[in-house]
Amino acid sequence: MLDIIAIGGQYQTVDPDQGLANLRAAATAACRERFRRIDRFTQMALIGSAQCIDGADVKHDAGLYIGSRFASLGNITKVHEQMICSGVVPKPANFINTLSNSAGYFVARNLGLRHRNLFVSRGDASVVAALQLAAMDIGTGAVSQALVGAVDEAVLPLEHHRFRLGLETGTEVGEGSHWFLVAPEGRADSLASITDMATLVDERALDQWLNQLDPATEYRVSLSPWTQQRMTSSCLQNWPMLKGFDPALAAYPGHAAGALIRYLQSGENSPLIVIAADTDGRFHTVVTWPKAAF
Amino acid sequence: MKDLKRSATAPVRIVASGIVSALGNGKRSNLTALFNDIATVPGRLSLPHFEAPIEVPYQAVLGAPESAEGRMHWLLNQAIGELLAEHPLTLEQRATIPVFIGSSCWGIGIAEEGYRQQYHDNPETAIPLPLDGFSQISRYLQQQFSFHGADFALNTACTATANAILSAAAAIRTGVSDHALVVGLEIRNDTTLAGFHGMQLLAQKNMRPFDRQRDGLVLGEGCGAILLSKCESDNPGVLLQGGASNCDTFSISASNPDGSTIAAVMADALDRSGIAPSDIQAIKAHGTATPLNDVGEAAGMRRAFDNVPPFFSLKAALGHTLGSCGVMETLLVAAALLEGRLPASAGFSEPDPVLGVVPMSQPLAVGPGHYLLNFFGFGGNNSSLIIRYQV
Repeated sequence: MLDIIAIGGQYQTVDPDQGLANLRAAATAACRERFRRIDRFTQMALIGSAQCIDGADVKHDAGLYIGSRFASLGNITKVHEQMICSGVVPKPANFINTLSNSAGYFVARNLGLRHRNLFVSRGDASVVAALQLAAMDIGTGAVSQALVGAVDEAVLPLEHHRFRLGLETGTEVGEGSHWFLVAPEGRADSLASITDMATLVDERALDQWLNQLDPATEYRVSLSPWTQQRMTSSCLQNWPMLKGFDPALAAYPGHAAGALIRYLQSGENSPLIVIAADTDGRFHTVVTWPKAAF
Repeated sequence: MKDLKRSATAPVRIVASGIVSALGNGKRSNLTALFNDIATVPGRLSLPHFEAPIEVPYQAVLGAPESAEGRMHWLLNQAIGELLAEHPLTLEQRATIPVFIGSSCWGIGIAEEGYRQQYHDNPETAIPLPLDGFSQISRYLQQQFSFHGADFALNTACTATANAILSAAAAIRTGVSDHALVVGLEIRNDTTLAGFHGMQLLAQKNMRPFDRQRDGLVLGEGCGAILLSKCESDNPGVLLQGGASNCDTFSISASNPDGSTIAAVMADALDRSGIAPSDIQAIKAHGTATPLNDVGEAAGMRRAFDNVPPFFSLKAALGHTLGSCGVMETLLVAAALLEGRLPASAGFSEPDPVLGVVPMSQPLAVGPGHYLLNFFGFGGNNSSLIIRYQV
């Protein structure tokens, strides 16, 4: 289906005492020109995407696909606070930044990508949706390569953020900008291959999907803290070939993407299954085989 | 999704659709209004919650509930209801059909109402954006209509559902599914209306695309839904021949006014569809009546075509329905083609010599052939679709 030929990005666990990391210097270092009035979500997208393609051979017709649960959450909450609490009309730059594809514009301008440019959301499975869009466009020849990102920023105060994410009080929170350069399968220089992506309507369907895996192959499985909350504790116990992988990430919507990156960086050989639950009882899966696994 | 098959040119057809807009409920009402030049004068909408009250022209849907959530559900019920009445889908089909959704508003109006109520009740504990806006439409489609397949909430501003149509076609062409549902929705909300007001992009009264007196756009609300299906190349009806999208990095709020990137996306769409510019019978323009958009679009058409085909804009009639304009305008053009005619360019009366092009001032009798539809959005996102009407 898809070969992953480069990965990169950034992640930080939010320190409740220190607050959010200041990204201005890192964003400036990642940019080929000075961008004014960009928000933190766009800064994260710029930093992560630049790190991914550093040294990579990016085709001129590469598409750009950004997935996120909330897009520019920090900017939108500020706009709403000013608008609803004080009756202030959004400033043009702030209004433009509420549009989910503003980050895509700046990444495209920074990296010289002028073709397909999409923003997509599917809760904590937004990276799955973005990879699926990229796969379909590569499949039809609309693009020959795709830069796929999962960008999810944390916003203070953390108790508000946990509420939005449906997380229990006190859950450790993270934020990340995780990127994959993907191409049609069959490349000699690929890091890994994505062989399956599925949307499963409920846990029973997930069980049936797991049933079609090769029982003789050991698979590593990554679940976000949110996904673990949504699954019954016995769901994966029926499948002895599944072994957990802990990417040592806090809870945030981009956990699936972050786990995939950390797994590919770990040097592990077994195929990885990332499972992301959504807020409607469904489960979304991605199966990735590191190159050494072939 | 495994082992995607490559078939970039496999035929895809619009088999059913549904719409509700400021022009009415259903395709019949919308077409009647378009061809009889009904209701091109927008109403006025007051936004009372700002420091200084704001009043904007607006093309509102009539008969919908006042609450944002109720309004969203009602609009979806009308559009999806009309679609399913035309082409019933079994529960088994609905369980797996991928759903491509485009919008600019998503659940922002619901979030505004929720936060405003919380703030009124207790400012200390109120939470801005207290819900996941992007999932609201998909959730309702799952709960109300049993569409549980992979959903894609696309937000590329005014090209959202044009891009959704391209992605839906790709899903069919790569063998993901034999069908794909595309849904576009836009409802009024303070963020969008105040945002456009603050950017001074709104017209004083009426919207006049390509007109010498144009002074900006009028926003509108509505919902459209299209069911795309795999078909045979000689099936009668309206097929999606192809399309393209690009990102113009000239400016975040407008495409290059020299028309080069707009011409490029049209050329790319033509190339991918395997047809020449001279094969295009007519163009449905984006036509937002802002000074920059119409200048750029006119320049783009002059670059892409030796002889610019007849062209028209629908936005003065519908209002600019932002992310949902792709699906709403495409399905109306398809419905009009099936009746053998296209409407005059709504809101136009006086040519602008600066543009070098003049839209249709009368309805046009049309027949089988290829038609091009343009959509451009903030963030430099440009999309062109090419449809083929055949009997």
